[in-house]
Amino acid sequence: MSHNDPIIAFRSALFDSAAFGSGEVMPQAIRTPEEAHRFFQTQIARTMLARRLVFLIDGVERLCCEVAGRRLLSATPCAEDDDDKSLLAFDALDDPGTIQPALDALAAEIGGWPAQGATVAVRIGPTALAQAAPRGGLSPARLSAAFGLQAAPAEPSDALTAFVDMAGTAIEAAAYLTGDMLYALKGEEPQIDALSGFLEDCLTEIDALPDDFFCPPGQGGMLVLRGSDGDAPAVVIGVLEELTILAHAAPQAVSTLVAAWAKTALRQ
Amino acid sequence: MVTSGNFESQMSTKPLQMFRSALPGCEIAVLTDVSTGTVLAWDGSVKWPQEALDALCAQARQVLALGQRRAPLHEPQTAVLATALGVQCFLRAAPGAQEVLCCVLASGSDVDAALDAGAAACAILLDGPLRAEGGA
Repeated sequence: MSHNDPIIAFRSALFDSAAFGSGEVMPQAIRTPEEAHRFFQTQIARTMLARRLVFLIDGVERLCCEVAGRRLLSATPCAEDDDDKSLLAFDALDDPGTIQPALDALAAEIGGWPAQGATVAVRIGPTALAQAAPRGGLSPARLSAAFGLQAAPAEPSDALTAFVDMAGTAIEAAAYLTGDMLYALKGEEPQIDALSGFLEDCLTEIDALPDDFFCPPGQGGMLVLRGSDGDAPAVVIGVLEELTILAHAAPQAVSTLVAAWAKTALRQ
Repeated sequence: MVTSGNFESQMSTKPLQMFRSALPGCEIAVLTDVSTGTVLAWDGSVKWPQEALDALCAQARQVLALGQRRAPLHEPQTAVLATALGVQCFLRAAPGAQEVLCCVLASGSDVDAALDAGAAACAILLDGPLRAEGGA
């Protein structure tokens, strides 16, 4: 984006992005190892095509990663002395003896970033790697587990009950679906009937959402929908493992719902 | 540092810049046309690859198509998607409009404030620079 004409510069950047996938994530503040781990995991989860991501701490290259299909294929620390480079290659996922030390080393490397500087940025470029093994590598969910970002899993039904409790008056009625059974969590019979009818109508649409709609896959997610009538209840659709929760909620309480979901379902 | 993009004019991104810079934790704001899957303009503290912008546009189309013609939504105007990686907000610029404002927020951001600010930004975007400059 160094060209003086902003339109030409932008078109040039678009061309580069389309042709080479180049770009950069601007510096973000990092204060704790958890922030560093989440930032790293987010970049992996967001990378769909084959890319080389170079992570920079305060402008200094620290880690070079090959990524494709939202999966981390390799990670190489950018040591000052080339002889010191050690490759963390994830081509032996089924060998716990190989992968666990590599994961521990990666977690330690990234967790050490806040001590090395105040900001982390990413330079994104093309890579020839990865096209051959799009399903190999580490998923964001596996990275979460390796980084300790996932608390011990709760029973999904318990987590959804806790979500409804924590949301309090923000949720007017709620029920969850498992298999073909709908279980009421909160609300009177007419409200549950309304939820049941909505779910019956929309289940096909919900099932048709792509596998990676809730990204990273496997960790669930929550969708809050509001119509044009500002007084009508919002519709909440949450997915956690094999359970789907449906709720009617106060339309102006989205922050409360999101915070409750993060604490209970995502256990953040 | 702020980066922006728009096919028609850099001036068109100003409402997006103002919207995003006023929201703590807002990583990127994107104006998209869901009927054509076109990214009209964006402003971000980060520069997303084009395919990520396209994926956000596709996601906007998917979420705002859920529950159509069914009470109490009839036609969803706003959608908020919360996942382990953060929160994505999608707002139709006006009832029935195909232009949708998308923004990506960090976990813990004030989503209600973002939706209110987004509605105000949409009014400016539709009535202001984009229309005047023929961008949308």
